[in-house]
Amino acid sequence: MIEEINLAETFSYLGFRGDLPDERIMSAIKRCEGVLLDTITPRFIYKVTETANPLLVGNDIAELLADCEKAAIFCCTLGQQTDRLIISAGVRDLSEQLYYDALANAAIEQVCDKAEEIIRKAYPEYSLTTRFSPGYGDFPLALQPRIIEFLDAKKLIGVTVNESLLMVPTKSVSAVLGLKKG
Amino acid sequence: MKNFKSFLASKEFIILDGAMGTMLTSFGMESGACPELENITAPERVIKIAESYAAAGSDIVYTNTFGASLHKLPEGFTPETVIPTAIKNAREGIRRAGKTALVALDVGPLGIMTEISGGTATFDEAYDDFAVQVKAAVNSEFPPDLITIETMSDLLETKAAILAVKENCDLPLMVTMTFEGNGRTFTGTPLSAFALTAQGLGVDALGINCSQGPKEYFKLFEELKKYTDLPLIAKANAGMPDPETGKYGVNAEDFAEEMLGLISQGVKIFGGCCGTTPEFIAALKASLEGKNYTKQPKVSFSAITSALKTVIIDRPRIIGERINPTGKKIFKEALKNNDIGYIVRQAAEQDNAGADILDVNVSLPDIDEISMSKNVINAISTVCDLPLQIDSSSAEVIESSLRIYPGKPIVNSVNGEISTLENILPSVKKYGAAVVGLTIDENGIPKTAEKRFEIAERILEKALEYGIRREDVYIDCLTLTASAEQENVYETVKALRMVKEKLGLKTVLGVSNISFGLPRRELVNENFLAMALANGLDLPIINPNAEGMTGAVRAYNLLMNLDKNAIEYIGAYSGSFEKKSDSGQQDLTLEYAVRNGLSSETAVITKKLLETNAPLEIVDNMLIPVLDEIGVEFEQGKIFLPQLIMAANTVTASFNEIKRALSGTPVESKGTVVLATVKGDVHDIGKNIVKVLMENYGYTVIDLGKDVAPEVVADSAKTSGAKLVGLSALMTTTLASMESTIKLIRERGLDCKIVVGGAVLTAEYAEKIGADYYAKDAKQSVDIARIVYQK
Repeated sequence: MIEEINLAETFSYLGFRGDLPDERIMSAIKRCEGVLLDTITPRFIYKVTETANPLLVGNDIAELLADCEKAAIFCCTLGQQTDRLIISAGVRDLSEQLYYDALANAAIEQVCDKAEEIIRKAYPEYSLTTRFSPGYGDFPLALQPRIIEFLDAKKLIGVTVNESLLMVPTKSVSAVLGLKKG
Repeated sequence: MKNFKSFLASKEFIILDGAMGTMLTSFGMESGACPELENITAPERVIKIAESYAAAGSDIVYTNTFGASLHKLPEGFTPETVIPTAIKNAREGIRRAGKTALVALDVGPLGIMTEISGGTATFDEAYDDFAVQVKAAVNSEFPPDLITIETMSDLLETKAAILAVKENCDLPLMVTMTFEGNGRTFTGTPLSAFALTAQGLGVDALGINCSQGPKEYFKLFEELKKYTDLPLIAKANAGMPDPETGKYGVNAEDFAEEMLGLISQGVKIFGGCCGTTPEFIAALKASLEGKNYTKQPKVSFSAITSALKTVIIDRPRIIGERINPTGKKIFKEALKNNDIGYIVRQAAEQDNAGADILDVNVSLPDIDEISMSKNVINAISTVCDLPLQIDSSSAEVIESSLRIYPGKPIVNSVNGEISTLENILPSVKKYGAAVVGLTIDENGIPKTAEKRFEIAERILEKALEYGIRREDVYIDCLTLTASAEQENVYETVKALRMVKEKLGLKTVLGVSNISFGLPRRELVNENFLAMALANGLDLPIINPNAEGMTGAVRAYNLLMNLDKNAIEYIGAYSGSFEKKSDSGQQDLTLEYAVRNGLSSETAVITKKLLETNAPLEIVDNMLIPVLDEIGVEFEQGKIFLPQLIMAANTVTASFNEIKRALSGTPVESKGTVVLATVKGDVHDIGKNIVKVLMENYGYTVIDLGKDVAPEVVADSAKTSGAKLVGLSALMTTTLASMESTIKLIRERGLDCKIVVGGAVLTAEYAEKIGADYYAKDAKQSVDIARIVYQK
């Protein structure tokens, strides 16, 4: 699904404010990028619903979907092996763990972009709003389990939600997009 | 129904049912409703579904109980209220169809993950939930005929479910897991690990359900059938659902046609999963009519597995011996201090060095070996893929470790004494493990090879009596020390060869004892290892970090044409020829090495400095000033987090040298700090960075890990006498548990300061929840530790 990871984004997650890392760190990050690309199993599902859906609540969502006929709810993940790679790197080398974490954060954003692209192609007569995730604004994070349930995400892409409302695998994203005619 | 085998034999193929959810929806179940409650609120729908499947030709109908667990049922409902009704509904449907189909209690995943798969559920929690479901079914007025566990993706959760069934009833058991096209579950378990584990635990049939259509199943079964001779189950989806309509892509005729392909893969039991209906089942039955079952050949090989990796013993495989306190001061300290992180690092190091399997021995007087062994196994399984060898002399430790092990391990060990055989072999059988038998008995180690062979025969015979497969019995002919019993060294080799040739069993040998008391031990070890390999040793137990030993095994596999095209050998050694030269290192300063992340150089320089400086002098006058400078540059934005961590890691290399120089006596501590990521939160990178930096500055850090309960933090703060406790949280949802941890520490009146940090925290919020300090980054937490410990 993705062939390379957005390194500019990765560097910014790592705290490099506009600067490029030195050669030593750069080559370590590139090595980690290769391993991470071999490890991730990007998966993605979505459902398209009416905008009147008990899961789509709050003023922010109402604003997002104001002129929309439909809404797409999606969830994507890098898979459990990614979490395992990040955790096990921490045992060997903290620097690597940090690189993997930042690279994975960049990668999941790229997977979200891909997901959006696929939805856009499936609904060519519509334009899409920006993505909006549970936990932003007044769209409650507490809805996360019901969203995952609604998408059947455990069965279809292996994503669950724990008691702290954290998605497992952790490098997963759920979000809502509005579909507007024209 | 007790005799599943004869039921299977009575039919060419067994036909299961199709989807439940798909049918309930089409009968009008509201979206978002709990399907299991339909048993009570809309029983006619459920009965109708069972009736339709029975009428369509299902030999076995599943109950509508996929999510009937305590974890998933809505409040006010329990497995005891839902499950008996569900069984009754299934039976009533079959009766109305005028058929004699069997009823299987359907057990699905709990919707939470076990710790090794990134979740927070323990084995026991999962087991208890499954046990409630099983008991609710078998104790009901109309118990089911058999039980089926399906759609699993977590191997440990699957094992908990299997044990909950086997320990609470004697009904036949079918188990299916869900695999992706790459042959792994979502949590990474390969088909081989599932087959070996489930067959070992004594299930009656196993296979695959959900996730894919029948076409994709073909390749999966090609792999699965290599690892089991149990009857195979295929319950495929009707393709994938449409995002808007929810309709599945494959129609009944195509589905039935494609499922036929699986006959050649040895599938005996056929059914449908998501998107399939009675129409699919009728089509399936029609297409199977007149076809013949392809009986699978018996499979026979030795293999063990973790949740993520299977190791087939078709060539010498290295068992790493380092997780064992015998003769290791630092390891013993780690056990006493419950420093599981240290033990896990030993695992990672051996994995890196080339171990295939890890021996785990954590026995030490005065520690609770049972809970230590379980914790260590769990912690290793979370980060390291290698299968484990459970090593203890206590039957209880072995039993409790086998129980929570995610896969099929080796048990080390039994011997020729009847009492140990009778104590340990039942657990080996029950949990489907492999076992090492030592050729020693109440009379000691026999001198001659022949006598040792006799003990091996006795162990094998007893193991077979308990129903353990021959391929799962490995024999250790015991290494004697050459310096003390030179004349008997070759007897070990001879016995090993006899066991291998006459009994055809796999052989194990702890190698390095051979050289005890001799100079240049590595010469003796490497040559003895080569001798033993040439005489049939399969599983050398060695220190994989010793390059000559690991190299000897790799070279043997290359020379014997086992490592085809030298792939493993070249993989291990190509590029490793540029030996790091010592030249030039004299010119490097400690500061330069630390700043540039040159760990091995830093170690060399530290070693040299230790010749002329006291350890604490190096810490205070050389390392800390460098760290301070780097810290200031970090604060000024001249360098960034990766550089800070790189330097910190390098300082750790220097500290390791200092520790080594002190050989076990701890470096004088600047003070103790307890660190934890709070309950409910599993983000620990930030906390780990704080830990490394604190250690660099000479503080003793007690790292409690992540998802830590308030009581554990408070207890640790009390027993350690730490003056500073650091808490980390990354999510808004876990700030509450940070607050309750602080509250508990205050309630108990502990004399310690609390520093908090993490992405969502602010100084104001830290104050509001009662923390003494807020640290915006790792550097600042060290500054705070300095303030606290200066007072």
